[in-house]
Amino acid sequence: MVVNTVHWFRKGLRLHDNPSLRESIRGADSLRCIYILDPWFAGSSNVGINRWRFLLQCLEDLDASLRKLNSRLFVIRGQPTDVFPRLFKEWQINRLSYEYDSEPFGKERDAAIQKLACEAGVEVTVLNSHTLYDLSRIIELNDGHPPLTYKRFQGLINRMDAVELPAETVTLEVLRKCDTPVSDDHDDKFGVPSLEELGFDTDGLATAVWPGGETEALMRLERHLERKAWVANFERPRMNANSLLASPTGLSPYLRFGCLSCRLFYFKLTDLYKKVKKDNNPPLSLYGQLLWREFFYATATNNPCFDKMEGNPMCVQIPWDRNPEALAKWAEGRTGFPWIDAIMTQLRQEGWIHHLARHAVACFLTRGDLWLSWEEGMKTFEELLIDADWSVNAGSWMWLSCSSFFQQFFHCYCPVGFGRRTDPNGDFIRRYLPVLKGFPAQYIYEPWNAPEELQKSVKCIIGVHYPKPMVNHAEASRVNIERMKQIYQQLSCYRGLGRNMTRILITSYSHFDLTRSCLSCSEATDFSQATERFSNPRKKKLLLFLFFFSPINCFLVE
Amino acid sequence: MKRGRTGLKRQTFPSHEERAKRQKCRASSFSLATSEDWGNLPPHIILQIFQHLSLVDRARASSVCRGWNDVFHTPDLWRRFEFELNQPATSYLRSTHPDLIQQIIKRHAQHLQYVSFKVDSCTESAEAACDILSQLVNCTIKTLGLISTARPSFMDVSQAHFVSALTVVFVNSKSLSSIKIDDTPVDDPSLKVLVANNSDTLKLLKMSSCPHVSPAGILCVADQCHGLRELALNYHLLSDELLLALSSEKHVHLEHLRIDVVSENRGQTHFHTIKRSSWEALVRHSPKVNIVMYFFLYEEEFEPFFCEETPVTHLYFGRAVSKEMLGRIGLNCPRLVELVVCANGLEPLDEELIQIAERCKCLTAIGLGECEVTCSGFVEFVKMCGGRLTQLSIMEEVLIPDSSYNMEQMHTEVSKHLGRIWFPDMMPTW
Repeated sequence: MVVNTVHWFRKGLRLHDNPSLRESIRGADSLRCIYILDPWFAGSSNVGINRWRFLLQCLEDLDASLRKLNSRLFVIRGQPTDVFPRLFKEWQINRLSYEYDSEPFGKERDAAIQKLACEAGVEVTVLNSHTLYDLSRIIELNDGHPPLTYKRFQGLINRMDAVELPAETVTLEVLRKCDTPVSDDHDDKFGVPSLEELGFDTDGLATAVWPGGETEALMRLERHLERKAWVANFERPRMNANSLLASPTGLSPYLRFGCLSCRLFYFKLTDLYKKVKKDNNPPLSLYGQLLWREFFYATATNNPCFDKMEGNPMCVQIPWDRNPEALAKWAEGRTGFPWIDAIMTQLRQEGWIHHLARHAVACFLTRGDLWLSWEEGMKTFEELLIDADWSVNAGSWMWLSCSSFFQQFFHCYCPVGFGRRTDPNGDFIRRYLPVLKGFPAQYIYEPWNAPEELQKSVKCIIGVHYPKPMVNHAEASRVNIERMKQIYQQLSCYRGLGRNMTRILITSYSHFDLTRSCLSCSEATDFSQATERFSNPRKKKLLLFLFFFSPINCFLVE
Repeated sequence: MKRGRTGLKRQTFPSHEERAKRQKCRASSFSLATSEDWGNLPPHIILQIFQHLSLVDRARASSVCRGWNDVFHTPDLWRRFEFELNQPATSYLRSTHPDLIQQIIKRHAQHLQYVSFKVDSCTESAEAACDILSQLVNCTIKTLGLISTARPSFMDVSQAHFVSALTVVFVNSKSLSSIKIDDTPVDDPSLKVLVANNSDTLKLLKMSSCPHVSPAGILCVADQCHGLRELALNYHLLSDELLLALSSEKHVHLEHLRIDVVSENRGQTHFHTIKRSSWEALVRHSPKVNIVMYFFLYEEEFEPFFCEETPVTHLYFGRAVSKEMLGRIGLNCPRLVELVVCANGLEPLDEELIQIAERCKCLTAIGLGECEVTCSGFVEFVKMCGGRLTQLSIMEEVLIPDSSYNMEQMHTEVSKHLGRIWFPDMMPTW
């Protein structure tokens, strides 16, 4: 029987460590690698030009690599549920493979496709290679629940079996017996579209700072490891002004699109560490970037509401403000705070910002200054940030807005001070906001405080050439920290004391706050009645202790 | 309709024997006619059930039959209420239904005892809250809270409107015990009215960031309300006279004093000093008092603070605070229980922390944001504090590995001295 196989690329845009592709090729007579451009797939509707360009470059690179193997990439437009039945028939397909997608919408979409495949008698091969581990195993180890703190997650990782080795790269040899029927009009029918064809205006578009593709990814990996080996330092790198700029060894977008296998990165890092440090036990912190990514994938995989506040069991319900005008100022870099605006400008222009820069703008938008919903921030990042994918983006936003994961909320990033401490000279600001380049370091982070004569002399009047600050940070942060405190106090009363307790470090609770929040869950009129509600005697004793002996709530750490 | 059973119309609570007999009766007839039981549950049972329901569910249940509707309107269910006032354009949250609000004002104003208003950032919501307040004429409210869930929208309401609404409650309640009116345009005359009507019962007053109140206004409260146990206000309202008034013989022990020190425009606010003797008087009178200070200042504005011994117990620095100031705190804050620092700078705070460990023997909680501490300095700090540190919240970036300790070694050492597993706070690196 002739075996005609289709490999469906979604993420995993690579030929190295692609076990589902390899498996699919075994014993197959023909192979077609496809990519479906599905404009309606959740998450892709809100995608900016940098992300599209990166994707198209990845597809071009795949096509070029496949050409070297006497094959081609087939780019097909439409929705998978429409495309597949047609292809199964037209190409007489009896085998379909793709990389496992752990995200809830991915699972739903794939379930529908599996059903179609079953109906058409097509055998489906799905293997995991986008995450280091099998996520369901991690959840299983945690009694069927996703881990809610990173520490717990690290504990689970320590108990998992070793990471599976990356699959061997698909080579000419592997494809020896497999043929790809390519028609003369392949480029017209199945070629990778250009940005213009997708409807983008590319006038004045700068060259990509982050070029897409597996080839680029592997090159960067080598450079990344070289640099680490040369520095011989595997500790967390110290932040300095240079860190803010796009690095030629940065890997996050390539991990997100799957141009670079996380497992390959993992093993190469391990090997290098063992060689340089002469130590066979690398610490978990070596894999920080990879493990955070894994963590968010694990927490998101079973939660279709992960990217929302409402209906999301792991998200604290916070009464965020609704203000489209304020949101637009933040998203477009017109807040009047050069540090925030420069970061958002870099994001829009290049598609990547340093993780501490992300913390700064996320804090500013949500719990720090504007008190707007993290969902809005998440959508903006989804549009502009090349390495944003559903799980990691939503999870990080929830984390940074203190909506989940028991994140302490006392620490607020100052839109002036934080930037100044990172880059005292202000070169980052001057680079991305040239209108401010005349300001000296003393005023560049708070130009509204510069004397009028200075503003005139640098030809930048605040309020005219550059906006005035949209909030008063002292005032806003004061109000907001109080709001967060109120919310967490109410939470702590609802949930009682126990494993789910949020750790709250902020000054003592006045009796008003405690009785008021207790009122929401009982008819208590004073402390003694409030404690009655907690029937568990240990809880009651602890609560009494809190009221009368310890001004701070000493919550049990998970 | 139902023979041998108490219908809801009677509404008396049956005696023990009667109840036992009825239970037997009910038990035997339960198997025959279960659907009839729901409508005939005694009111006190329905009341108990209703107390476990959310307001929405209760409201729905009240439309089932007249009996249940009567129970829905039992005064006991209306002792406490939280009015939520939101506009769809400014909030994702729902509002309390206007019909329900009307019902409450009409039928339950006199039952309300613990009332709070949660408003979003729209002026309309705050105005609606004031309108409701103005109608609570026949009330005996004990606890009143005006809470803005986002921007302080009460400040956008006309002062006259706000004050007159608040005065309605102040005058009519006569037994106000806890009041939370932070971020509102309350003024001295309204405080006078509050005091005139509620001086015997007032225990708690939270009015941070009320710019229309003067030190004299708050002093009036302290002078007359001798039961006051908790007070929250801004630093500009704090005076030596206030502290002395709170320490007068007639006054109960003060339990909680919260002071917000805010500077909105750099270099434009002048901060007066409080005499050491006034602080001492307060602590002598109320030895267990929590003195909580929140600072939102620019680094150079801290000069007037902590020059002498200050009995503060909880300190929160919302912006950067200098190394020098942290040194002063170590020196002059012996009662310190909790310290939270949002940001400092790029020089290690080892010395300052160690001094704090040495001199602040009551310290049990510390939080450090953007600061720097070497691992050795940190381990030393934790060793000196030991197990009394129940909350230790340090951002991972704060700790700098050095020749004596790397991160792993530091975790082990710190965990050992604390007597529990400890890790620094982490932020995602994506």
